[in-house]
Amino acid sequence: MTLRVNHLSKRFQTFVAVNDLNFEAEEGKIFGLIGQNGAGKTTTFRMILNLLAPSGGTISWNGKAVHTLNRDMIGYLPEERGLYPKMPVEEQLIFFGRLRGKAKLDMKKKAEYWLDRFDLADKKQALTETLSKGNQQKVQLIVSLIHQPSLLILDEPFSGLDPVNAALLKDAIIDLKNQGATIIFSSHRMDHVEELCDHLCLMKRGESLFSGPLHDLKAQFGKVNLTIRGPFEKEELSVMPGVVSVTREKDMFRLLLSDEEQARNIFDQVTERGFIERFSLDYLSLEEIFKRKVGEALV
Amino acid sequence: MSKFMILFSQSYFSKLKAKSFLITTAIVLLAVFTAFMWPTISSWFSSKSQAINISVVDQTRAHAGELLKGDSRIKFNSFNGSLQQADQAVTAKKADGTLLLALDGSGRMTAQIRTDTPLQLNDQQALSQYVQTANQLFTIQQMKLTPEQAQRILTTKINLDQKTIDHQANGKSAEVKTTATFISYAVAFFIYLFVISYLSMISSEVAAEKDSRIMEIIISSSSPVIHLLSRVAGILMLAFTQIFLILGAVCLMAAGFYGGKYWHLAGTALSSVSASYIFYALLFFILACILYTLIGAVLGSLVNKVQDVGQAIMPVTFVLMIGFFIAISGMANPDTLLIKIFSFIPFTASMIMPMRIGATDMGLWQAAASLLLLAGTIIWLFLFSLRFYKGSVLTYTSGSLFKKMKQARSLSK
Repeated sequence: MTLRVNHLSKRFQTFVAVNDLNFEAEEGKIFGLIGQNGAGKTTTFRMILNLLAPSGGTISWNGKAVHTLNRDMIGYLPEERGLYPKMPVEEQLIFFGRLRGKAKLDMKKKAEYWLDRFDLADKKQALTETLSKGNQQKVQLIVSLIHQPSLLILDEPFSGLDPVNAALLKDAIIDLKNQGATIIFSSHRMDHVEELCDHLCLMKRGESLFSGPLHDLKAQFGKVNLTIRGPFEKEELSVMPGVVSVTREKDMFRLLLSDEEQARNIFDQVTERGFIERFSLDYLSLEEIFKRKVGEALV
Repeated sequence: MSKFMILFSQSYFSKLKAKSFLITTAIVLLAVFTAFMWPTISSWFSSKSQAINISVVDQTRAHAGELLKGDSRIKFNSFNGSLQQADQAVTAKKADGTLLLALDGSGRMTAQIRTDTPLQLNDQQALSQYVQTANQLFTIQQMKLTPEQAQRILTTKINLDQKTIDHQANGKSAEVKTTATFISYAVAFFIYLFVISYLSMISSEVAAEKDSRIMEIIISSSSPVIHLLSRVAGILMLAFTQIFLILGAVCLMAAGFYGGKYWHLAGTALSSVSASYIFYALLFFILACILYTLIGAVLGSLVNKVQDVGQAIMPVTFVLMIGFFIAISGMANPDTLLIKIFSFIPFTASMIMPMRIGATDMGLWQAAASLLLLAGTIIWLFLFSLRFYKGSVLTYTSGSLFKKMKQARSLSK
């Protein structure tokens, strides 16, 4: 089961919201759609959900046009949260589950399971409006996945969640992935994307800057992120060949290299004096890549 | 269960169980009960108040004072003394007032009520009525008529029988027309009340779902058509539930209170109008409910926030008020050109056409034509709203309703 987006575009009069977007989200994989505000992520989601008709291109699920699909197989968490404020939590979950074609009794059991898993068991009879923002967010998440969708679309799922609850959500997403669901999500939190996604699409003003495996994106920049902890001064590190910049982070130095090959020379130089506590060469973080890519696109 | 039924029952039962609905219904039922029991309730208050004693100073020298007949509320007592003595008695609280009867130069009776403090309006009215009757009797007496002649003058009554020369078109009697006018007024009032209550309810419901973004989840799980239909059907069912509850209570009270007096009265009124009138009035009522509920849902989908609903539905409320006031004007004369024109305009027809059917001699084809126009408008509005409903629930831009409709249509493509 693969979701395939081919040359997708959406125009609103003269404004181009999405332009020639291409990506594939495979079964049992997590796909990240990242970009700044107004990049076209929500518009893309709405086209996948058949809420908006594309101006050009196609979206298919396992070879079939997405608008012909049974909507019950899709789960959707919108960017702006929406729940009935006066409806008790459990009733809300059962209602939306039934709306996705599931039986009431089945949904009651699922609601119990998910409320327990998200530490909301004591809130099932509470009116939704009485819950904290974080708890409402968790209820909203359960609404999107209670019917065990084959395709789950999560628009900013981590917003409003504390680290503990964000971890609960991550576990749930990974579980669904392992059960074979195709998951697409967007987030401004690059650490979450990096942790969860196998593939991603980086968007800027409706255009795709990159689409493919996360590893390929990182490999484009090479291992240029060097961390050193030892008896050095910033000045002596910054004059080493191949060092683009040096920043001090607590008791460490973070060096940005012009290319991966320079790391060997630097290693030889910093170990000339003997033992050093840390020498770690990594890829750039997704956040750094995102800033670079978006920065380039802006230029 | 189909998605329509899931959405419909959610909309219907959530509102049926709402405190606002229960309280409103209870208040209306209490008002109906009070209306039925009013004679008894008012007697509780009036029984406590004492009768008004009026001293009659008769200066007509023709025993005109004896013609005054009092009742339990107003008692007339002949006063054998001067006017000043009568006034002193009033000042001393021995009487509530002095009624001075006298004759003018041409022999006509004059009357004057003299009190220490002004009388209440209803007492003034009752007193005026007694004096009026006494004056009529006094005038008849002065004409030296026999008691039989006097009785004929007082009780004479004529009915104007309507007979058209064209035997194909016999006109309705004035009595039938009057009854139909009052029933039509009730129908118009009911429609007005219904729309005022439920128009903002459905607009607010749709706007709240849009505002809180629930709409996106709902229409991504079902479809905009199902959503629109379920909301319209839910609110209509709620309205009909309330109407049935109130009508049921009215029927029970009418049949049960005062030995079924009101039940018989209503039966007599309804039997005087034709079955086709009732059929048309009912159809117009139902179609008006559907039309305005649909308009409410569409307007609710166009606004961004619940607090904008009032502004959006205001023009509809004005149209409704115009229709209602024209219907009221028809109570005096249902045959005016204004009424004829507005009885064909779909937005006001349901309040005005029933009056024309019952209170004029127009051909029923006109009612059928107006009904078809109304039904056609509903179908057109439904199809038209579907073209932009999907887009409108996803549009959050500011601007006029027309601008939003235009944008919504482009999004729906």
